[in-house]
Amino acid sequence: MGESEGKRGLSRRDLIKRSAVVGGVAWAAPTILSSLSSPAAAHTATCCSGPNVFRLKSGDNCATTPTCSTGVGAQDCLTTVGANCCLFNNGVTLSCADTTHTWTLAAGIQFCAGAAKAALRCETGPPQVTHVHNANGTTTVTITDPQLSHSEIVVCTPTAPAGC
Amino acid sequence: VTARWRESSPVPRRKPGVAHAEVDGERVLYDPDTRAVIRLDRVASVLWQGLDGNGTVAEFAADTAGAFVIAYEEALNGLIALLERLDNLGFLTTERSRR
Repeated sequence: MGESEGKRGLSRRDLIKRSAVVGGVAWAAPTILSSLSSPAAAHTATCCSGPNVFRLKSGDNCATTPTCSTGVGAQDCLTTVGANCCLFNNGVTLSCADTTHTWTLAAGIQFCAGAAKAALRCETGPPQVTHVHNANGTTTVTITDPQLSHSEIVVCTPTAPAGC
Repeated sequence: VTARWRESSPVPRRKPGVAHAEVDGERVLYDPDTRAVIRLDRVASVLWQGLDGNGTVAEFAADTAGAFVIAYEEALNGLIALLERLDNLGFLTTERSRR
């Protein structure tokens, strides 16, 4: 192996090693957990225009307790439906980091739309808002932006959910 | 059927323009050309970063084995399986790097 190849290999090995150590990653066969090859292949949300549509909104500044006031606020991005948090921890969960909010929808709860409120911007599509249908029937919605203040999602259910 | 990826294959590059977000060490990749979205587990997320178009798959496997302190064959098999999936989903480019 020539010197340049050695340097190149060492550099990549260091990168992999550092990433693994920093992230506390132990070896397991690398896997693609889920894929959505195209919107056409996506599980189509059929209930978004129905009666059981809900908007959930994270708290500001990474608070994981949603803002549950009803109605639409001046800072809101998705204004087609008033906020209704009855699904929070009732099929919808939220985990939160400084610039990324991850919403998880239980099987049977369909994703309609999402938004990142970032500074004065509303971002409603990729790469800020992405969603992936997982093999176990759940859906993961990732909302990320360097200036993320809060996130919103609109979801629906085919029939009226318990607790709502 | 001839396997697409083998030890002597050049390391592919990440497809230019693919956006990503990282959540708890897992990367979500989005290809704006095809609007495909995939989610990688933590090991695949680490390896994704190393797809720089340099060297061969054998060298990448050796780097992986060294970094994770595992057997070369184990690293090679995992790497090749990952490359097959990423390639099939259109997230790689095989343009050779400049030498």
